[in-house]
Amino acid sequence: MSQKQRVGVTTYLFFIPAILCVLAILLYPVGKTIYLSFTDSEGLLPPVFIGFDNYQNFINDPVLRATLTNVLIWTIATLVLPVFIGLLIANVVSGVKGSAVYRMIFLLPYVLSGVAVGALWFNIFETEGLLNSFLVSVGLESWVNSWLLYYPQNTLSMIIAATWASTGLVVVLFTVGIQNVPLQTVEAATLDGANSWVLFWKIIWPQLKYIRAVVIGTALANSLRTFDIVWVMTGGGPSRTSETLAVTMYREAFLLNRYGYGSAIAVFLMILVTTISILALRGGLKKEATL
Amino acid sequence: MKLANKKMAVLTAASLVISSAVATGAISSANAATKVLNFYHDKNGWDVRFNAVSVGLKDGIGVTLKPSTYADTTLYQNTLNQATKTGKGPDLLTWWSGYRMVDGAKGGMFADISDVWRDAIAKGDVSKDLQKQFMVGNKTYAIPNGVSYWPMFYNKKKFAEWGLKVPTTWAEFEAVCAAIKAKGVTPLTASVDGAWPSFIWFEQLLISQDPKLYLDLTSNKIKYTDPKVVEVFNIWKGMIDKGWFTPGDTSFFGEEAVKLINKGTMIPVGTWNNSAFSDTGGLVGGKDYDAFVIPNINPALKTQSIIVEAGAIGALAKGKNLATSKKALREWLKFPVQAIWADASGDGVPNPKVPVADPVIKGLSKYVATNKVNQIQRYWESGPVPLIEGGVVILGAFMLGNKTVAQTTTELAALADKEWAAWTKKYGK
Repeated sequence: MSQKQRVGVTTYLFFIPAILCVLAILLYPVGKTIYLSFTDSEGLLPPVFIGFDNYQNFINDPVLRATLTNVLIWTIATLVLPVFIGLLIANVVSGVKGSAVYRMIFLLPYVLSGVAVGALWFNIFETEGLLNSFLVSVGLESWVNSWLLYYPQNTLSMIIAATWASTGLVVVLFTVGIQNVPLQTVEAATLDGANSWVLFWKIIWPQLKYIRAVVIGTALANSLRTFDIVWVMTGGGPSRTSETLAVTMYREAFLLNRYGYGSAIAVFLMILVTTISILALRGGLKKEATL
Repeated sequence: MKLANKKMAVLTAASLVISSAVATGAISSANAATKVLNFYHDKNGWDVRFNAVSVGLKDGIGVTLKPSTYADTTLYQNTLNQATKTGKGPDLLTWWSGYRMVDGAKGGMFADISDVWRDAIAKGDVSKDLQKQFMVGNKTYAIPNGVSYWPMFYNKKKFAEWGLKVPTTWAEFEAVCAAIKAKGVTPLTASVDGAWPSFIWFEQLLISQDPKLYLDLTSNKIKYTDPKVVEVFNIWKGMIDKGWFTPGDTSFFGEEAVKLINKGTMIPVGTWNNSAFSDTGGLVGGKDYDAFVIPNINPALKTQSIIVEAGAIGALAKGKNLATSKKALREWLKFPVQAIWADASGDGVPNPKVPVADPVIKGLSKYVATNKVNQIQRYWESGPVPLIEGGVVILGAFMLGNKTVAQTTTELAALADKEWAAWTKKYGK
């Protein structure tokens, strides 16, 4: 073995701890989850292989339709609202004196954990909560409602909470994108008589291509696996009406100890998130590349 | 460069070996040197009670508890499922009795403590009747974590102010509810917050109508579509329609419970919540507030019934200090520790020798004993877990008006058929 080869071997030896960590922390749980999804595992007794029964039961589960509908609502709403509002705010505060302070204010909710956000907004939306108290105080008693107890208003209420929490990051990302637009381009367009609308759509928007792909990809992945806010604010209820796929998975695996069934839902969710994220990122970047 | 790489590789490997050896050694020596038992539970705010018990155990047998609270029950259960396999984690743990113990008992979570019960029963520290709630097959796996009745808590001063008396018949109970409603106060708490509270009124109305009906239903002898069960749902629906219940997202623990009772709302809840009124709320039991056994709906019934809940404390079967854990459980049932528990919790205890100090619990216990009130196991522990967990979801939908009586009973019956079949397949009858 030459010295060069020996150095190469030694170098690869140093990779081993990192590779072992990736295998242990990332790949083993995935492999174990896939394995469990083909068993009747309930945690304590040894699991028995049952083929595709869990997947078949999942497809026939009457809750699946409601769950997928909620996931669709969450995906559309948490994609459109934070991106639209975030872009609007970023555009407005960019170049404004003290924009860094504004960005910081909008970013603050993002640093809160989902659990904290859920607890905070639960206090606002519960029947005896702040929102209803406010409505009563301004004479709008007829608007008072049990916001979290009925569908679909419970899901929409939680989407408002999620939008509040996630918009700050979008603002920061888009602001960075806007600040990276070359000043000369903007000035040239302005000299050519472009108004604000034209300036935004023809100059700024196309140059946000990579940022936009990241924002949309992240928002999609987050919305598909929405869990913490729902779990804290409604627990997926009442009557499982506000469950998302992640909540259904958690309920089956950890509340009912149906680890096998819960794993099947987790695998389904993993495939869904991965596929849509890849498609969204590839589609977004490809589309922009042709501009 | 080569030498440096080799040295780094050796150092890395050596540091890993040393640190793991140090860690292992530290754990081993800690286990050998201490009589501290790790005690896991999911009872928020109960560390004070368990620390008081710890003092009693130390005085009695020189063993102390190190309580660890899990705020999330689901996380708690799954942590213990893992601990069951590894033996690492708690020595002692809280759990639930009845059907909720079966998976853990069959799966090796709990140590068999039948001998602890045999001795405690022989000494009169605990009744044989209570033992049944902690048995799976012919073995016993836990001791009671207190004994809680589920009466109706009410504001005694408001009752006096409004000219109301404790109801002794269903008609009187309805009149009291109507009178409180007329005062602009919601008379009764009901909730679907967290799903589980939806069973409270279901079980209560069933036992008030006919305790045998409840027992037959929970043992799968009759169906949820039985006309007698449907009748109970109709009574419940009538109460909902009269606006007697608080909104579905009402919390009735801690400070929320105090706010509700201060308004004059009545709260059907376990006596484990008694301390919320007395400690958190600073209310004086027997003077500011009290509790009564909810009257029978069916006037033909000769005796009243009350729900009784007995939480469980078991020893982890693979725990490293199992002998000490069993010794602690044995001591836990004896008079000194039980007296400490009664004092710290303000709730009932299984040891009949312990005098009840709390005026509310004392009055209630006396009433139950004097009137030979039927003591009936809670719905939560009275059936296979998937049936109960699925059942409370359906009951919650009914409470919110999202399902009719017919839809509710039909769905519950279908769920019961499915889950009892699964249970029978798994464990036999």
